[in-house]
Amino acid sequence: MKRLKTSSPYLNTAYPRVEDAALLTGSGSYIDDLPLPVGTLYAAIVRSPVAHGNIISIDAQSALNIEGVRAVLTINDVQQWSNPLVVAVKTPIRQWVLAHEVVRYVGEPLAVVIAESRALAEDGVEQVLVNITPLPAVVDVDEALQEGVTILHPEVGSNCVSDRVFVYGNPDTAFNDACASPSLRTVEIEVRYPRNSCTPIETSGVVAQWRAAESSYEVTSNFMGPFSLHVVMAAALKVPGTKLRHHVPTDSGGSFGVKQSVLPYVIMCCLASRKVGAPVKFIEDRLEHLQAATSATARHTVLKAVVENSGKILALDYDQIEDCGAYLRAPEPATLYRMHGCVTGPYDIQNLRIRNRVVLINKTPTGLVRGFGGPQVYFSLERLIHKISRELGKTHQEIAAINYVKKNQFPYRAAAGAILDSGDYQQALETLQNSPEFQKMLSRRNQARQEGRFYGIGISSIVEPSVSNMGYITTVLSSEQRAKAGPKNGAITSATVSIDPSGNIGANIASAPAGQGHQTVISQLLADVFGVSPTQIQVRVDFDTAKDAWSIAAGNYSSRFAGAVAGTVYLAAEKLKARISLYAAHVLQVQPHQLIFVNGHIAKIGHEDEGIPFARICGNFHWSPGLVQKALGKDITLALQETQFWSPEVLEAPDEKDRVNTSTAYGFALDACGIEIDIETCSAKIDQYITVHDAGRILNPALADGQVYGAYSQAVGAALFEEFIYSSDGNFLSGTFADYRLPTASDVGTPKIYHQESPSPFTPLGAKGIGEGNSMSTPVCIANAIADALEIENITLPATPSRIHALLVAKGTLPPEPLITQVSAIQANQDFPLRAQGDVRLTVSPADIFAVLLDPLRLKKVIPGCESLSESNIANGKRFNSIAVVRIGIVKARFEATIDLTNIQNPYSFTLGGEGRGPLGMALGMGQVSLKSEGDITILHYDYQAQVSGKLAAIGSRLLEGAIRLVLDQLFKALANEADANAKHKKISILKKILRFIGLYK
Amino acid sequence: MKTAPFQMHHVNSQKEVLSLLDQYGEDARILAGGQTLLPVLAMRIASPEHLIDINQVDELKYFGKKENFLVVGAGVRQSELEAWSELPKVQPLLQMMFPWVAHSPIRNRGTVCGSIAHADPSAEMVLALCVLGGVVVLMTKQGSRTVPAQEFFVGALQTVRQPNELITEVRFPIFDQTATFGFAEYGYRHGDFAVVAVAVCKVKNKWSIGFGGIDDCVVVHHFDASTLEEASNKVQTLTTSLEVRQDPSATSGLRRHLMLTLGHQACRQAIQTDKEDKR
Repeated sequence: MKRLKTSSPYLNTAYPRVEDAALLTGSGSYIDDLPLPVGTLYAAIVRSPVAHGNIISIDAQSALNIEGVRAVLTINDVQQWSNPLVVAVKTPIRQWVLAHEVVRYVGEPLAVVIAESRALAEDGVEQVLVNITPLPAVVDVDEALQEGVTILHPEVGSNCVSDRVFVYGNPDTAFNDACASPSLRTVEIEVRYPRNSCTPIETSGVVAQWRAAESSYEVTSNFMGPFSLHVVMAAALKVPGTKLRHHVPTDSGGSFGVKQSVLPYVIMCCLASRKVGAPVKFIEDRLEHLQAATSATARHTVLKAVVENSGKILALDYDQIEDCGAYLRAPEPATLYRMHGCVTGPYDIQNLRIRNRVVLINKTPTGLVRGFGGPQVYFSLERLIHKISRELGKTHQEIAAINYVKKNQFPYRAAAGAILDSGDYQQALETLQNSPEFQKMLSRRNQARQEGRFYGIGISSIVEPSVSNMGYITTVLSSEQRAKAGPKNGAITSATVSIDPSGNIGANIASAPAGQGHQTVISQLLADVFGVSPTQIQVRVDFDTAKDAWSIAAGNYSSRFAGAVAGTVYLAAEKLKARISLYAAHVLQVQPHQLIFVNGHIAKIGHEDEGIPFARICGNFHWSPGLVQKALGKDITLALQETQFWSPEVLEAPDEKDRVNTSTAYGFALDACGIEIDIETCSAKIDQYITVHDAGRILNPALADGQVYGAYSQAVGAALFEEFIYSSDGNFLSGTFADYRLPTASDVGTPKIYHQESPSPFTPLGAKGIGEGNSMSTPVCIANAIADALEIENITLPATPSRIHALLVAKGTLPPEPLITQVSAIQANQDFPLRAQGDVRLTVSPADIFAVLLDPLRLKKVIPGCESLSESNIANGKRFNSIAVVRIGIVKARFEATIDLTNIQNPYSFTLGGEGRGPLGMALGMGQVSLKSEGDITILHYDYQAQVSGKLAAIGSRLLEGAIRLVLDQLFKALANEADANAKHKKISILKKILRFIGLYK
Repeated sequence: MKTAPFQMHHVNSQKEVLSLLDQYGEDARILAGGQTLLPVLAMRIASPEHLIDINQVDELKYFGKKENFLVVGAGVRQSELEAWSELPKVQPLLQMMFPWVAHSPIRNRGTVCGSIAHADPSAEMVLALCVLGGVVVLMTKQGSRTVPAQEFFVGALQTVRQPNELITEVRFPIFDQTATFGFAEYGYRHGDFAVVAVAVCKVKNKWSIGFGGIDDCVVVHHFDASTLEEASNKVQTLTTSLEVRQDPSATSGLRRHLMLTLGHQACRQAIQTDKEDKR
């Protein structure tokens, strides 16, 4: 393949970003900044407050009564105008963009309110009355696979929607040998990778318009691709792809894979526009984004290896159980299969067994998140290497080095089919070990250990796939199913380069960048090709599916820019250059190969001062086509525009043995991390971090380092800070950045970066991706360092102080917690994760209290803000329905409440259950209340279990139990006040005075 | 993230504030720095019908020494007090705490009284007021009352303030030169809610220690100790005997451990300051 000369003046230099002037002066074009069509309306989404439940009713009438609310899109509209979403795995599940009959995760869209402003739309959302009967939630993949467990999609018959076993080489022989031979051993590790995301600063945004006259949709959104999903969107909207025109603005405020989750919003907004007959705009808010946009998959892996005493690994056996959330959303289960070809990492291991199970549970559906599958795979593989090294008394580096694919083996066909294109892993290891930073790490560990401090070093090495094979997801199908469907493969990429009458160069690329600097690199590249200044190049990255050249692989994902997009631009530019050269050679009376494009001129090599201006030669193609035709014949192509499509030849469809080359190029990253555990705060402090990269040819070292810093920072977040936390009842508890904690610059530090360059033979420029390496290598490297520091193998991420504290207690370094926290008498119930117990001292007799409880008129006075109360009989007691207003400090919430009073043992005890529904979510509580006289006072003891869901849970998880105590406290004190008011003895007690004083007594 | 509709009242005098509060009570909220209120409104977990903006009420913008108190009016930003040159002398504990109160842009807007009104059990201002034994001044159209800190806070985010009352002022007692202080906090990131915060006030061998972030309200305890070792032993006893909450952000085990290590740090700081002063 033809290559650029290495003497190029701009590529491979840290040329300053051309994007920054606009971004730094506030003149970028983000989705929310764009001018809108006249009459645009705004959408807000009604979302499920609970993780699992049957939808009884959704009543939008009150919302529609608000002036300015135009319509409410419901499942009926969705079913009328759209098809269920298509996914790779065939199941009977019919997945719509709004919940149908059942909700399956907190935040699942139920309806869309369309109004004249977002504020009005939110007013409408608060008025939509949602009645859902909760069902038990399944929140863990292991639980989901148990017998008799709740099934999310009964039509599937199981929570497991795909179960595939893959065998490569002879793993069984190796594992059998391991039992028989003393020189072999089996090493096993069981790990769980958590749910997290990359939380771009700009959330999802869509402006959609239904054009009734031509039955088409026109959309502008910050969707990032892959544009194979354009096909999915058009199919869902029941229109041909040509009638779904999709624009992507120039700027995107971060994507990291997450902007793939714009997909359902695009469909929702299109349908909303159709409903109201006007354009509809939707900008997702942060709470919606964290709660329900998307997540990386969580994974439970058991990984086994057969290992020789030397450390050589003979076979691997992966058992991976993937949490894909409540629905499989395209392109899932791609997180599992993106890494499939290279699950053996940088190691030469030809015997391999993989079992992949895809499981659905009551959490947000998963999707693309930077690293996509890499963090999950390497968390098991590199933790295993760490464990092997400890068992064999060797270093992690020694085990790695023994098993690395050797330099002379490239291109290397891995067991599951990846063709590792190029590399020199040993060289990277030498770079690492010889670095002054690594030496310092070793000496700091020695010193710390002598002083009794906990300092550990972690190592990890990974291959970083880039430019995905669009056919890899079909590996989830059996080879028979694939044969039936026809082969899918490739990574078809497009680019257009054009030159105007004045010799100015433009390029259009369908790469939907999100800040990576695509325009900068293409400017550098074209400047080199045509011998002009990068300032003469204009690169357009806004994208229009109706007018730009594109195909299914278009978009901003799988680190495909450097390898595929820049390479395709290069190929287009070289074609144009050849055309221009032919004519320039004629003008200069030389052969084309004797020409050089330099300093804005085209000249004969060696006579650079005597060239003719590039602009003049190009101008002739526009102004004097006759001259060009005269020189080169009538058949010469006059266009100074070239659109190139390119797909890597090495990407074939999965073969009949399920081998698949999942990506075009495979970079390499080798990390070392020195961590000290601060015993005072139980926190892990990164002391030093080294990362060695081989991403083939580096196009711009500053941008490459920027990618490394970015991926590293997000990975530190994944390792130490960030996690989507759900309670055992499936409620989402990380709805703000106070609870979903991103690390700040001061928490992350600066890694030391080393580069080496092993150009890829499979990409036009020899370049590979570099933006995801640390997403994959850093979490496990940090885990290995903590394992080394504490000499504990079982590390769960994120390694928060609470988790490290528990490890230090387990290890015996810190004392166990004294058991003085009150213990509930009620058996633990995972559907009611919140607990509250307490005593309230009251100055009325138990009989007086019961007198109030059994009198609805008096009870009404006790319930805070009670507006109406109706009574009915239920088994074992009574039910009261009311409207209640709950106040907790700054928060004020209105609930439709049901109160069940049962097991009444007058005057000793009763059971008080409550259920409230309102715009802030749902609250369910059940508890036992007992009364005991002690002299003049009564001690009321309550023991409660509760569940709070929806917005309150997502925002206020830190204070929920306190809030429940407060509400109960208020309730029981009000009960006592009412009892006292009518009690025979009207003595004013001191307590009552205080109550009156602080306002609890009316 | 758009607020529900509300009516905005821009007022210029305390009298107007009290009159509006009297009129609207439960349906009104005071807008001072807005650092908690605005997000709460945007997320619609509160939708008051009336907002009373006190930012233009000059008579609430005062602070300084008054008798044995540092008095801080409702219009005073945290950063104004933080920047006061006499603060280290007058109220060293507050000076130690301010860098831990969120971030400087938030302190530039947020008020001292606003933090007290919000009553977050992790808030530093709340902890300071409790440990120092401060007082909250509440005013209505009809009159005023003062409430000691320990009685003011009654639960997570809950105080005894009545809907028609305005917190016009908080008073932090000023201790004489024999008093020394210590403060230590742990949050996951700088500016985060404290997982645990500890403040210590030592007058000769009389100690007060308060823990923030461990329960629905700040817990203050008093003990006698003449050495760091004695003080640390008392802290140790407290960490194993107090009720400590567990929530998704931290286990009770971690919180107890932090109470011990941070408590020790704060006590040491109080003793060291004492020694330095005597030198």
